[in-house]
Amino acid sequence: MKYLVISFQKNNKNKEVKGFFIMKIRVTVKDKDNNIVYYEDFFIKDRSEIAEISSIVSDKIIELEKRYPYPDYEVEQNVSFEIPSNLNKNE
Amino acid sequence: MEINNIKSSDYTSPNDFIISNAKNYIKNTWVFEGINNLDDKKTLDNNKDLANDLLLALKNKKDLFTNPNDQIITKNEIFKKYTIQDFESIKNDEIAKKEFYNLYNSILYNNFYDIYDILKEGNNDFKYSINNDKIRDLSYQNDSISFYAIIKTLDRIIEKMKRKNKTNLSEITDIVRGRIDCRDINQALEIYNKIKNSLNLKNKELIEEDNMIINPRSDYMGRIHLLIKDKETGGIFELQIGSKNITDFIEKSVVIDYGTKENLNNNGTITYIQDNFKSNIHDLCYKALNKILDPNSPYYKKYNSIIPKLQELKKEYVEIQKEIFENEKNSSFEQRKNEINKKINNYVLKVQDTFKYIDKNDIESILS
Repeated sequence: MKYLVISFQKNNKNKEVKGFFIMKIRVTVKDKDNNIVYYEDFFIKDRSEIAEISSIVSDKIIELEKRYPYPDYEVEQNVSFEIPSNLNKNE
Repeated sequence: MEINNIKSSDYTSPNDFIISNAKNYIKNTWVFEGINNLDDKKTLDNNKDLANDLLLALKNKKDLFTNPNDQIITKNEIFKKYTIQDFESIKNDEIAKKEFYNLYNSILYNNFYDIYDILKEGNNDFKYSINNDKIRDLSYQNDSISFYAIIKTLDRIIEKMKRKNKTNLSEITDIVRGRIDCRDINQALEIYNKIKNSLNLKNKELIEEDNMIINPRSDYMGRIHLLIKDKETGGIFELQIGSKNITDFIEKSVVIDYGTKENLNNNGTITYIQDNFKSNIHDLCYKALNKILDPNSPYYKKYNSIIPKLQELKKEYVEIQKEIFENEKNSSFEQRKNEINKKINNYVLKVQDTFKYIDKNDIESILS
């Protein structure tokens, strides 16, 4: 069974790895001066998880928008790719 | 306006994560029990609901998006008709808000996967690197490209609709945006061609393009803006492909130092704190300057005494972009890289020095 994994950035420096990726969704809260006050990462390992993670990220955004109201804060969502090995470590 | 909201009566189980606000759905067997108890027949009968659809896809572990999804498209069409008032009303309606975010998240993730599939096609040596904790470089035919995407929040959508006097959501096309930063404009053109030729295979249609590599604007160049319709979800996805060097320049961070300001503490005392404004070159020297330098804007009069300095900044902003653009075109950027970077660093200092005479509130209001 696959789980959603929440992970924070690690101290990996200048590594290069061959392979394929998983999608990383970073939900960030920034204050008016663009300082990051909170962030949390979510991962999608394959397309079948789109529905699950869409729902979980939506809940997270709604929760954060309540806790950090706009316009003093802004909740952002950035999508990029991440290393599968990071995911494994968290599992 | 009526929408098919998720009804709590549809999900009576306390373990149902779709409508639950409980935060323990992660690694929680209740979630899977909830899914296993889901009645396929009931949900199929009630198939107008996006949440049902998402939940069923989760249960069956199947890809929702290999074919056009009528329910998602229908839901998207409903949201597209939403006005500012409709959005203001769902801001306080968690269920409707959830439905909205769910839909746009799905569109974003689906498009992101499809573009990623196109990029990696034919690449046996598709690699990525981690640099100073940031994982963003994907190797593409022995070069590095970065591919990332963002999504607008409800507040930002409402703000944009108000600012641009938009009647409904269908007039906003950049809710879901992706960007590919390439080695140079030549590679950006290659990737653009690859994506353009493969869109049809991924159930997508190019509905608009602004190719500022082939047709550069006088003050903005080196990037291609594509508007892509995803036939599987009915969503519109804005994709920008461009030169990383130009992006690095225009997005270079700028911190304007306004000295110190008073800060009233909870205990009634006052302390003095540094008053800064963090921004980037594009926001300041393109967006803000275009507004301030417009003779019809109130800012033009207000900042009359520094208009020549601001015009000089705008001119230099264009010159540096052009220099990168032309050098990339001639494949001579690498030889001139150090010299250009030096120019950029000096330019940032000039921007910081000039913008401190512009009221922080004015900049915020222009950029909001």
